[in-house]
Amino acid sequence: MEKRVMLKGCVGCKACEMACSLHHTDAFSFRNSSIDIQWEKEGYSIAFKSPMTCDTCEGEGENNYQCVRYCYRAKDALKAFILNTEEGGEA
Amino acid sequence: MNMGTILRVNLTTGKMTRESADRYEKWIGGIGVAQQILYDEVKPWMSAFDPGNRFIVATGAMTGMLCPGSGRIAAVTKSPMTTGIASGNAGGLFAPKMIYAGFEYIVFEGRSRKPVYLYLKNGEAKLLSADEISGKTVGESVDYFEEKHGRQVSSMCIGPAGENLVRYACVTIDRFRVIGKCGFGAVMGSKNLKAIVADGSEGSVKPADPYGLKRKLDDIYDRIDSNANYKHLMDYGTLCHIPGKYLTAGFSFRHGQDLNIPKEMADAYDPDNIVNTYRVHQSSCGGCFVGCQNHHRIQTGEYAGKVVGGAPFNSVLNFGTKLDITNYGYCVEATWLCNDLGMDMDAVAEILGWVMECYEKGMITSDQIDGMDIPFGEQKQSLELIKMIGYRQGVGDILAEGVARAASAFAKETEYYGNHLKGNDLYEIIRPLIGYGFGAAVSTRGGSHVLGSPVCESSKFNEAEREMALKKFKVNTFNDPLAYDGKPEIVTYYESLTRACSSMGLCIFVSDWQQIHMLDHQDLADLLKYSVGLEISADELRERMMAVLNLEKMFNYCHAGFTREDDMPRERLFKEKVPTGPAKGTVLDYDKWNAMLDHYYDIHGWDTKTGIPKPETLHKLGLDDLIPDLMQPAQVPGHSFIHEDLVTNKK
Repeated sequence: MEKRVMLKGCVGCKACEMACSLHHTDAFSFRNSSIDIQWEKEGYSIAFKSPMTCDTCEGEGENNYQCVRYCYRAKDALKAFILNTEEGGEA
Repeated sequence: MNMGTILRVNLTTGKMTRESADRYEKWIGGIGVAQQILYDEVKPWMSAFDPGNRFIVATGAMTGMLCPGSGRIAAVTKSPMTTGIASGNAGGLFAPKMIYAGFEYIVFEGRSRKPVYLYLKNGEAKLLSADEISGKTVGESVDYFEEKHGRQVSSMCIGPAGENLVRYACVTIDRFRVIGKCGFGAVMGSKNLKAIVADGSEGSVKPADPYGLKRKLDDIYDRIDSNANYKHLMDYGTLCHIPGKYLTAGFSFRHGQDLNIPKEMADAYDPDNIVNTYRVHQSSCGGCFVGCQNHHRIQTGEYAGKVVGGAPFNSVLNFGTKLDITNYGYCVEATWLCNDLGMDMDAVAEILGWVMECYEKGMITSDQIDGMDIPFGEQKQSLELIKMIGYRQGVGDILAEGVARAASAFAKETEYYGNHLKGNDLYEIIRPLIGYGFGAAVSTRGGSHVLGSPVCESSKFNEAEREMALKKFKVNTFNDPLAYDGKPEIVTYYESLTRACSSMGLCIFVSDWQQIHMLDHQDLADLLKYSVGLEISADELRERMMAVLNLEKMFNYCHAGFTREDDMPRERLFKEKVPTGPAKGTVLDYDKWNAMLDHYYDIHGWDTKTGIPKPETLHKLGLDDLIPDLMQPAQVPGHSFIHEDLVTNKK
C-alpha cells in the first residue's frame, strides 16, 4: 500500500510529475513519473509509485531532483519528501 | 509541426472518425483551428441549438507540457447568447489529460437521442450512457465519474442549467473551473451531451527540444520569482486586485449605478481578511505552478460547511458589490451554486442586478417575479432565484434567457437598464477604464476582457516598466484610464497576444497582459520553437493572430449581422455620470468613442462605416476564401432579439 503524505504548499499542478517523466523519457506524461500527486479536499498528497523508479535524477548533474527544480510552491516540502524516502526514513 | 488528431463525434449516429489536423497548421492550435472548422462547417442559418452546430474542444500547441500558464483547454461553438462566435477557455487538469489520452481536437455535431458522455483513454473514445446522471448537478456527476472510472479522471461537464438550455449555461471542469460566457453549456445540453471525461494516465507529449525548453522555463521561473507584484497574484489569487479596484473605482456597485463602494464593504472583502479567515488551500492548472485558484470554507453561519474552489475577484464584484451584499459567505455560496448548476456567474449576477435595480425603481413588481421581494442586498431570495433560473422554474424561465431577451417580457422601460454587449450579459466596467471597456465592447464574443482589453490602465508603472510599455504599444496612455487616444493600439496588441496564448494552451496570466515584464510575442515564439519545433518570428505570430481575429469578425458578420453599431456600449453609459468616488463625474463621450472606433477600424484595415474587414485586408492575412462572403449582405440578422432602440447611438 503506497504511503501518501500531505505536501505543504502544493497546488496540484503536477509540474513535478511532468519534470520527472521528462527526465526518464524525454517526454511529458503522468504515466512515466515516479511520483503521484492527488487532491485530498484540503490540499494535495504525494506518494512514490510502486515499483519505485525514482533515481534521484542521476545524470542531471548539478540539476538533481528535477521535480524539486520545477516545483515553486512546495519546493521545501517536496525536497524533504524525496530525501527522507531516499534515506529510508519515515516520510 | 505535427498538429495531432481531430476526433469527430456524430452524436446523431453515434459514429466517430479520426483525421489529422495538419491542414490547420497555419492556426498553430487552440481557438484558431477550432474557429476555422466552425466557419467552414456551420451555416449561417443554423441556430446555436441546431444539431448542425459544432461544439469543438481544442488543446493548444503546448498542452501537456510543463510551463507556467500551461493547462488551458479551449472550446468554440456558435453562441446561443450572441448568435455569433463563442470561444472560451478554462484550466484545471482536463487539457493535459485529454492530450495524454491521445486527442488534440474533438468536434461534436448532431444531437444524441439519449443523454451520453464521451470517455477518453489511451487512444480510445467511447460514447457512454449518461442516464444515471441526467438532471444531476456537476458535483454529483463528477462523483459518479470518479467512482466509475477512477479518481484520476478529469471532466468537462454540464449541470441542470445546460440540460435545461439556460442560455448562458456554462461548462464546468473539475468541479470548480468554468468555460463561462456565451452559453457553451446550453449547446452541449442541446446535443444531449452531458460531459467529456478524460483519463490521462497513459499517454505522453514529446517536446521538440527538451534542453532548449528547460532553459526557457528557467528564465520564466526567474522572472516570476523576481517580481513582488506577481507574487501577490500567487498569494491571493485574483482577490489581489480588490484593494486597487477600491481606490480606482473598479467595482460595479448596485448594478453599476455607482462604481464606488462603501469602506465597510471594501474592508469586509479585504484579501488578507478572506484568505486568513476562510482559505483552506490553493490549486493550479496542469503544468503551471502559479496556483491562483483559492479554495475556501465558511466555518460558521448559514453558508458554513463545504470547501468551494473558485470564488475569485469576479465573485466579490458579481455577488458582493453589484448586489450590495457584504458577506463573503454569500459570494462563495452563489458562486458554488452557479458552478454546480452550470451557469456563468457573470451573467447570473447581471440579471440579478438588473432585477434588483428595476424592482427598486418599481418597474418590475413582486407579482411579476413569483411574489418574491428582491431589493438590493437580498440574499435568501436571490439564491432561490439562481436555482429557479438553473431549473427554468417560474420567472427563472424568462431570466434564463439573459437580460437582453428577458427585458422584452417586462415593462419597456426595463430594457434601458440591462447591461449587455452583442446580446451577452455584461460583467465589465467601462466608464472609468476606456481601454478595458473598449476591448470589451469590440470583443467578438460580446463583452469579455480577456481577448484585447488591457488591465494596466490603473497601474502606475515605474521607469523600467514605462520603457517596456512604450516599446510594446508605441503609445503612452497605458497608465491613463480616462484617455481615449492610444487605446486602439493597446487593445490591438492584446488582441493578438491573448489569442497567441490561447493557441498554445497557455493562460494570459503569465503574459505581459498580467504583468508588463512577463511573456510577450517573442517569448511565445521562443516557446513554440522549443515545444513543437515551429520556427516563427514574433511579427509573423502577431499577423497570424490578427487572421484569427478577422475570421471571428467574418463569422459574426455572416451569422449575427454584427456591424459597427454592435461595437458600441449601451446608452446608459453615455448618459449616466458616475455619482461618487474616485471616478466621480466620468461618463462616456460619443464623439471621442466614435473617433476611437474609427481609428481602431483603420489600424485593422476594416471599413470605418461598417466595421467589416476590407477585401484587401483578408487577402493580406491569407483569408482569400472569405472574400466572397463579404460580397453578400449578412445572411442572417441574428440579433433581432435586440430591439431596434436598444442598439445604441445612431449618431
